[in-house]
Amino acid sequence: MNVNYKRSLVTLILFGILFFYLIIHFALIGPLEFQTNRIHMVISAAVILAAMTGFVIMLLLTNKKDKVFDERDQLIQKQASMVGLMLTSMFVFIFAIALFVINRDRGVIEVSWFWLIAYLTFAFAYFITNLLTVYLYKVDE
Amino acid sequence: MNKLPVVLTNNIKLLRTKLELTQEDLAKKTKCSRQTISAIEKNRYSPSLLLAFKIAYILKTDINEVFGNE
Repeated sequence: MNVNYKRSLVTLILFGILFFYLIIHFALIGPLEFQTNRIHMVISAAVILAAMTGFVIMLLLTNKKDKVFDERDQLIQKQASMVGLMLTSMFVFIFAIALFVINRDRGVIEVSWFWLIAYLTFAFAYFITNLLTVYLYKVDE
Repeated sequence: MNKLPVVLTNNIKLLRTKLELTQEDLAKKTKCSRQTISAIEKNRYSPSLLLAFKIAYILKTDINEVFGNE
C-alpha cells in the first residue's frame, strides 16, 4: 500500500471520528447548554487536540526517507483538494443558510453555533479531502 | 492519412520483462511508485512526458517503441 494512501486512510478515520463526534455531542446537549456550561467546550477541545495529536504522530511515523511522492500522487491530491474545497464551501453555505432559515423568525441565534461551524468546517475539510483521496486511489487499483 | 490517436497504449511490460526488471525495479529507477508503473502498464494512467522519457531510457529504447496509440 502506498504511503500517501495509508496517510489519507488514517487522516480520514481520525477526522471522520472528530466530525461525527462534534455533531453528535452538540446535537445531544443543544446549543444553549453548550454555550452556558464550559465543560462541554473543554471536552470538545480535548477531542480536537487528540485528533490533531494523532494526525501529527501519524505524519511523523510515516515520514520515511525513501517515501515516494510521484506525479500520480500529486494528481490525485490535486483532484481531491479541488473537489474537497468545493464541497467544503457548499457545506458551510448550506449550514449557514439552514441556520438562517430555521432561526429567521426568532431573530437571534446562540453564539455556540459559530463555534460549531468553525470546528466542523475544519474537520469536514480534512475528512472530505481524504475521503476523496482514498476513493481516487481505490478506483485506480 | 494517419488516424487521430484515441487510446494511448504501451509495451512497458514486454520490454521490462525482456530486461528482467520488476515493476519495483523500474519504479525505483524512474523515482516513482510501483503503483504508478502498474497503472501506466494497465493504461489507467497517462504519464507525463518526462516520466515517459525516463521509462524509455531505463528500458533502453526509443519512446515510440514504448508508447503507441490505437
